[in-house]
Amino acid sequence: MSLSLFGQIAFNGIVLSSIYVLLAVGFNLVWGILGIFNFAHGHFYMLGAFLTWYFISSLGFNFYIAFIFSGVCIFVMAAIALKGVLGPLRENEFVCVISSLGLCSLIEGLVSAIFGGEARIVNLPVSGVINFGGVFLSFPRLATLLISLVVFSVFLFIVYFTNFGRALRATGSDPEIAQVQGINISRVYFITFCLGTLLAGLGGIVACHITPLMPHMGIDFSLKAFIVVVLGGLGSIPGAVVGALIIGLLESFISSLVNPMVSIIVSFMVVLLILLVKPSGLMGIERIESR
Amino acid sequence: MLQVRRLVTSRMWKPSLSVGAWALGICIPFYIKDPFFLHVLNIIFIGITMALSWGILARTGYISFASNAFLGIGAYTSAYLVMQLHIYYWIGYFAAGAMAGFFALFLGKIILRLKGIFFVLSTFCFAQIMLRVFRTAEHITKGADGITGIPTPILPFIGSLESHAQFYVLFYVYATFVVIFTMRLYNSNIGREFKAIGEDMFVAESMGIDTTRRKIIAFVISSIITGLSGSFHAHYTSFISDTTFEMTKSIEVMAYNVVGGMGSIIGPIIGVCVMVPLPEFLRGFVAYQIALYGLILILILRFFPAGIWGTIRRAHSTIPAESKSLRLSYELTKEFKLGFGNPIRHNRETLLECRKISRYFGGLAALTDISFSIRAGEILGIVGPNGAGKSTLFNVITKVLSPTRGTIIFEGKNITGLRPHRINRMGIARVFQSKVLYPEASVKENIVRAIVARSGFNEIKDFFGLERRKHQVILEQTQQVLELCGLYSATGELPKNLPHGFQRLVGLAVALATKPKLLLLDEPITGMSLEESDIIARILENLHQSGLTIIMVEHNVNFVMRICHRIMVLDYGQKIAEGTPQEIRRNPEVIKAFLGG
Repeated sequence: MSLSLFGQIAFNGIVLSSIYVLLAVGFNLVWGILGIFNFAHGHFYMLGAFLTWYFISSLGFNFYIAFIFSGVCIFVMAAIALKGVLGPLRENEFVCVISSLGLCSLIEGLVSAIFGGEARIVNLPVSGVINFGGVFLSFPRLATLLISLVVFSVFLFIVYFTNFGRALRATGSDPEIAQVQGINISRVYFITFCLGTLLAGLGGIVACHITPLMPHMGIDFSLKAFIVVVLGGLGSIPGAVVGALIIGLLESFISSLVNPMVSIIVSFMVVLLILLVKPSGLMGIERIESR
Repeated sequence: MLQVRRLVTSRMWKPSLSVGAWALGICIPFYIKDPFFLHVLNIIFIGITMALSWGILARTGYISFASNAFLGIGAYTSAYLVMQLHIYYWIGYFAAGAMAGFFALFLGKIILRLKGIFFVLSTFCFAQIMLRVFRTAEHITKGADGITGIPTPILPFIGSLESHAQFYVLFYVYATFVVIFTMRLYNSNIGREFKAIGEDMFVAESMGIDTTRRKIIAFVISSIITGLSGSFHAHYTSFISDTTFEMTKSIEVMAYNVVGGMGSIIGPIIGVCVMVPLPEFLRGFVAYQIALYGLILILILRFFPAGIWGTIRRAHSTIPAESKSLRLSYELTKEFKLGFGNPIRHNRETLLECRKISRYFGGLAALTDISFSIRAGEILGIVGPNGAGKSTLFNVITKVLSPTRGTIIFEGKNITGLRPHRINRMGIARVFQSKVLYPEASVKENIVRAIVARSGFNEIKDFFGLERRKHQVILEQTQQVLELCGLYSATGELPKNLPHGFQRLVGLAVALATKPKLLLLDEPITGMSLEESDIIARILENLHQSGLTIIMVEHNVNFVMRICHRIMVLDYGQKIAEGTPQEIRRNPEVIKAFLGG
């Protein structure tokens, strides 16, 4: 394999990872803090991409306005999903999982009923490539990488440097104690869910030009998020980043060099192995059972 | 007329009614000939078998996402055998079940040690991997093209099945078989143990249930049924491809259970009957069919979170807990027949010996070189300030924790490496605090489960209801334990609803029900009133009389001095003194440790 091919695959892998980071961090938040294993997470990714396509191609918005509009829509829909479905059923973890599957059918069914089931493509306002020592870095992909990084940095800032972030982390480590300390945990849950789901939606928005959009692609991205989170460790933000890099690069290399089907088998094998050897994930916090 | 009355009044009317209903059911194709209607019913029957088989595993608390994988394994196995190797259909059919069971055995050995959500996720990964295997293993599965023209099953005397009506009869019988099998299983002792594991695996293991074995049995049985259904599915629809076994299949199976109500037999059946025809009713909405399906699923869960059957059952058993005033009293009988080991075996032979036990948590030494032994029939007290390592010592003996160094010898055998249920079966029982009993089982059921685990019943005989005598013995022993601990008035209550003192007694009763030779008591009278601790003292005295050996950890020094023959004092994980109560009372080291001199 030539160095430039290697570089090309690695670049694609990193762009992919940057999307997975957004997806997985959101999934991690929702699962880790609210305890909701949301199968419809990837569907919000799909929704983000579809809304952007709709705003650009049907309403003629420019990409940046479409970005903001789609983001707001996703936030509102997430709020509805939490208040209407997942929140009230949160007590029973398993019932909640099944209801999130119902949410999957609902979202997917609505999208394909409204927009139709065929694949479609979005073009970004930027185009062109840089030849970086034989590796072609396309501007749209660079834009994806850059916007993901900005979104992720904003998210990190929220979690680590704001009062809400402090409340979030407190709730994550012990909701009861957080409550006793005067944190309104139901508000924290609400914002956390919307924020986490918004991250998935934003992932879909920035990645809408990379793959053709289909209504049924949502579940694939839920699975990607899940793989990354289990790999990195539930409740760990650095873990999500490391997991996303591993899965993004693995997928890029195996898909390019062998075939995409094998890359999926390999990523699930890796996760199965991780579950067996270290269920808490690569960077997860080991919980000692006290009994 | 008289005969009819006799029939109605006799106890036979209920079974004969169900047989009658069953016979009516099998005749449905005679009155309704619409093939589409029969087709939906056929799918319902297959759905029932899958939902129930999933429920068998779910009873042990393990949720599987791999129904579709096992369905696929069964379908491909029998299609391959029948079409490529031209094997007789019914051999292929049972091979399908066997193959699914084999996969489950292999997979279960690996992943059943994972707990909770991690198991769920690993079945998910397995299903995903299998889906890709179905796609890529083209010489067997024909990949994405799928296998077409799968022949229908052949029945002796009838020949190959042609019409939906014929399939209806076959599937009706098959579904009946699965329903009866599941009912039998749930009512047998294995089923009881499945439920015990599902409620609390830790307790189940400590009470002598071989949880690993039980879980694998549940997983294999569940997968075999799914594999058999897979074979029927393939030979009924005559076409399978990898998309036949998408994850949605597993999700549907789970939805049947959740919508109907988990943990019962009727629940999943109701779930199937609601969810299978639903897409057909929604066909008129064309584009919105999928969305409506999702919406209805959400609405059902939103308004019946316990499932349809679960909600109905709950509505019918609404006797509010407050209205039922609890009349509890301790009724201790002095006479009891339960023997522990050899009754009155106060010979001076060593029962348990710990040699130089150490346990470190990271760099922290919780126990350092503890050596002690206890003779049969003795009561040994362990005292020491908080953090002295008393509970750690108990955990090490019952193998909840393994010692970093040292050996534990029980009745001359080295038991250091054994698993908790083995330790329990050797005859060491630990008294649980009430919060770690089975939460959803009554006091009596808690005790029955503990006895069952030790009763040594034959699994297969028991399944066919041939262990009546053992069953009788189990009931008798339950009564004895209830009597012994004065729990008669609380028999039917859930332990968590009882006052603290009673909860502790239930914990003691459950430990005694495993017929131990050595009893480990962790702070038996903490939080008890004087009267209650007096009851405990009397029970312990009784137990001592019947030859039970007891080790107890207790903060209340007066109680220890009163009950124990010998006392060991721990401080900072080290043994600082050992001797009779009188010796301990005078020991300057002990006084220093307790009073901080």
